[in-house]
Amino acid sequence: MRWFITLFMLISVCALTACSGSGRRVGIPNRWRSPDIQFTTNKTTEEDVLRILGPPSQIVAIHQRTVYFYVLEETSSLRLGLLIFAWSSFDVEYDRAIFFFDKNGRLEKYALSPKSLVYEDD
Amino acid sequence: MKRSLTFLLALSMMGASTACVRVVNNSQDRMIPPEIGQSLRSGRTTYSDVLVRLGPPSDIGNLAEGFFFRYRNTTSSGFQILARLHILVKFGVAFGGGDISTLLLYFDQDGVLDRWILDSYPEDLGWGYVAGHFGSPNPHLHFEFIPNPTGVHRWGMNLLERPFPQKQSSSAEN
Repeated sequence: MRWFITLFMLISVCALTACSGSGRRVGIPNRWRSPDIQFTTNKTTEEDVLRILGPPSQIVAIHQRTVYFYVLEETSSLRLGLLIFAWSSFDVEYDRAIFFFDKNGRLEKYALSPKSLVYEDD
Repeated sequence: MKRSLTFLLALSMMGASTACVRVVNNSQDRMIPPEIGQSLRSGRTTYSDVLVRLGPPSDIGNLAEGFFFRYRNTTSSGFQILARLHILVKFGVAFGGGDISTLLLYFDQDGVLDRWILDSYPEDLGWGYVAGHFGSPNPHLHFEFIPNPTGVHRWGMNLLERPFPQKQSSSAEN
């Protein structure tokens, strides 16, 4: 009988415990993290960036400069449900690339997010 | 046999009458280093310097006499404890809080920093309690009280009442 009670308690605890995680990505694939791609100031052109990365998330014209803004958003959540305690977290992280071009369409300055999301070669 | 049945009955009662603790954490975008203000100089720092230090902003926009960068970070957390006797009653309390940090930088047409502001808004998400008939679909048997609602509406009102940051104020901090 003792083993039956132990088994019953074990099944009860396991049945009332759950853990789940999920994640999703929205935006432009972060090809700017590819080790095969390099951007050079005063050399790379708007056409080069468009050809490599595709259409940007946002284009801004600022006083004889054109800015291409690429954004990849990653959402991740984790949930832990124990018998009497539950914990969950929900994080949103971004991998961004921004390119400033001069009036001749040459790359003036570019920057990538300090923390990158995992690059997935597509 | 009687002892085992009593034990199982006690276990079932314990399962039916539970107290749950729930903790929630949310975050969006990266933290803005608070010491960034020490390296910003109106009239000297360029947008290029800012990009090197902080990377791309959350938002970028065009202005009549230049452009702006906005960096933003949001964090929030909540705590909830709920005691319930299944199918009979439940009672619980919940509260939470958060923080919204924003760094706004204005650049002139040449990309030189004109003015900036770094601010953080501690966000009270309020607290409340719930009592009700747990298993009933009837909403009249379920009561929720929120004595202290979220401060987001007050924050919006305060933001509108707040004076716009002056160039002198950011320069004076330097």
